[in-house]
Amino acid sequence: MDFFGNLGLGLQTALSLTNVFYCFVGVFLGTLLGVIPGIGVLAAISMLFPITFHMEPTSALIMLAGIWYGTSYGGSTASILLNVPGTPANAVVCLDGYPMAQQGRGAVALFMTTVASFVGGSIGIVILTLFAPVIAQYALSMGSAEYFSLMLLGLVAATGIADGSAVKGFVMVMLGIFLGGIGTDVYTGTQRFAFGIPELGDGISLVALAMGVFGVAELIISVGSVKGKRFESSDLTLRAMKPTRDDMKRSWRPMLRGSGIGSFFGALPGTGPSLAAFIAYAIEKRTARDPSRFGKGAIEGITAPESANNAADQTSFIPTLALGIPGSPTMALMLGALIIHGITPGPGLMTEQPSLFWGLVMSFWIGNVLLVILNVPLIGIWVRLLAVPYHLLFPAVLMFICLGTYSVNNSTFDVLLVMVFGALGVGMRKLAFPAAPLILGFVLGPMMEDHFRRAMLLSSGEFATFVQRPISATLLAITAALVLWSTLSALRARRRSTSQ
Amino acid sequence: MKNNTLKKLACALLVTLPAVASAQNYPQGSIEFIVPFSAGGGTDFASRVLTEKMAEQQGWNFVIENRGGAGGNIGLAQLTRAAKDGQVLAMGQTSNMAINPTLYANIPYDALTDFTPIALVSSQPMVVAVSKQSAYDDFAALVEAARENPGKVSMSTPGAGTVSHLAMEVFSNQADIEFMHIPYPGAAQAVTDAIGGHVDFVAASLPSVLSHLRSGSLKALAVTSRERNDALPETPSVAELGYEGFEASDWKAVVGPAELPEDIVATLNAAVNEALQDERLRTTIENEGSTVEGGTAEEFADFLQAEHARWADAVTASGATVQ
Repeated sequence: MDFFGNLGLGLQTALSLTNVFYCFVGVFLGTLLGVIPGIGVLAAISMLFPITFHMEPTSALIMLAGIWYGTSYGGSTASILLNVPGTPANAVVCLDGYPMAQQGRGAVALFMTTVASFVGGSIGIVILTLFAPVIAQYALSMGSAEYFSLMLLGLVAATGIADGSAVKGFVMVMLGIFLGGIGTDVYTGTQRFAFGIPELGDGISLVALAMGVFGVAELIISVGSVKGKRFESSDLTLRAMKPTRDDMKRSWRPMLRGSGIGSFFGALPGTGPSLAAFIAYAIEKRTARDPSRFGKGAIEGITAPESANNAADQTSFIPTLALGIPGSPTMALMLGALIIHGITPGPGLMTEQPSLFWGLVMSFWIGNVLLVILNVPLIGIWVRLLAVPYHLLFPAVLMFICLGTYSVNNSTFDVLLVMVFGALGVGMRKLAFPAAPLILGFVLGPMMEDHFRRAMLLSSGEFATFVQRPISATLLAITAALVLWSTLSALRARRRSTSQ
Repeated sequence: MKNNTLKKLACALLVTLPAVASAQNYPQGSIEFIVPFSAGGGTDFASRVLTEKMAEQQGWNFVIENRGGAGGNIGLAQLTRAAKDGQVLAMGQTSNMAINPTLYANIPYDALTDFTPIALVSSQPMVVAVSKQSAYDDFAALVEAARENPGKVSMSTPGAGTVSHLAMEVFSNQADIEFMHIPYPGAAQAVTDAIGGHVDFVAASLPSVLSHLRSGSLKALAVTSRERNDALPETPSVAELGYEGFEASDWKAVVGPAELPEDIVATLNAAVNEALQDERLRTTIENEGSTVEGGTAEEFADFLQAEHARWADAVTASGATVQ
């Protein structure tokens, strides 16, 4: 069947009443789960998993997928309004989204993240539709050496993610890498910094860390600095949602760049939306004419990462559907939903099950449109949340954080960890240590170590493997150029300031 | 008044508690079913499929509790603290009941005495598979290559101390060869790198490779079950290739806390076996690449004893340990 025939078949499948219904159920649940801090998409999908045994596989997948990309729409809400990330992938939106809300531009921020999410999602879908098989093959050629070089590039590119002292940012990256290293060593089974606590043997949960240093820390800090009135009733009108022409002008390039970055990281198994959002933010800040605007409510700081995580949500279906390789536990569950029905994911899926494959892809469009329709009216309601007095709102948010963190692994230990990281977060804020580099180090550090050691094992200890492999060598060359460029521009800036 | 009601309630509870532990009025409300792994894995899948069918057939209500961590040890340890009335059950499996007791330096239970075996549910063999471009056409060629170049043929596994890793250690000892072990954090990555040709072969459970074998991106060279598997009738078992008695499988089984009353064990065992007879459930489990087991509680108890002893030797021989 030709390409347009496939699209038609897909639309026909996706637009059937049942499938539109399941798509709506999925994205609605996803939005809710995203808004509530901490509650993860994995827990939700595994609870709904048994229901899918009795459903048409296409409908089942459409619903589960809707939950998956729906969370990214809802996830930025709490980041912007409360400085509490809905999911780790939305943590970076706190940096500029919350300042916007404080300036009374919360509704604009929410509207723009919805637009950015839609742009990112759409671009992700286009890439998925047109290039899935090609990209999938390319992703397979990435071995551990390539992943290591890519992570190194990501880490170097993202060094400037936070404001203020570069030394403090570096310290936080290192602390993140250290925290990421806690747990059982994959290669030897040795426990690192676990102090005999079995829960620590599995490492620290990203959700606990992100909820602690961003969410709980924010709540504790605000208790000490309650301001009287936090919003004007004019903030709630439809007009307050309308972005200025300047907002639009500043946003469309970051959205496109963010979508590109997101699509790239999403297609690689094992990386995914959180990393994509952080890297997209870092790149915007690096390429901005005036990086000092970031962290103070720059619109680029919310649109780029939101486009990135939504694009990544869509392209993460590329390895899942085209190769049958799940990039995350959530994707593994979606594959499971197919396998239960006796359907084999992989290169044959598109030809053997065209209505399922194209129906699913087309349902992503419908889902994204539904999400926009769903989210824009909700903005007014979310913003109204700020009218709830602190003494009622904050205990509720804290409860949801604990509930959400607990739901990831039914572990009370993780809830305790949130509190520990909350205390750490307060200390960091008081001493002006930024939280974003901590999360970045935590995510990238263990992956870099894992891939570095595997590459070394496979090459029998030859460091040359990193430059002998062409993709890895290219990535390292870009990294070196980036380091050189930033050093030179820093030196030039210093010379200019001393000569004045 | 309020106080009085509470006292009455407490008395009523105390009176009914001893009576709970009998099969006539079992179960009392919903049954908590501990899955000692996080949601989305193979054990989670098997538990949800099984409890759903049991709920449908018996009219019982199950609450699944995913309690992952420490290779499945944390969830099982939680079961040892439960009341001995069958209201709390768990899905035990090869790693946390047979391997970890020797692998882990500290384990908070004795797998043979702290639990009541109820019924074996399913099992899955390990598969040795290579990418479709691989030069190794059969298992003998792979073994020969490892014999000629000791420690050069690379093998990806879902992790150090997993059934896949230890099964290959046992094999290497028996065949007197050495592979280069590349452990991964989980099966998905281990399989991906085998498809991409970054490692020479992968050793992983059948469900984690089955879809890739069907789609042709991986070739199966051997299965570790004693007999061939129905899903892969063309693939020889390691045992039939001249390694007599070689067998390794990853099984899952329902267990309760120690000293569970015999009639409750019988009720539960019958319910599990009834569920396993269901055609739809069998297809679901077989589609995934697992084999439906079942059988009496006594058979499972004997099997557990044997597995515990067998894997203890394997762990000791491999030298693997988790401090």
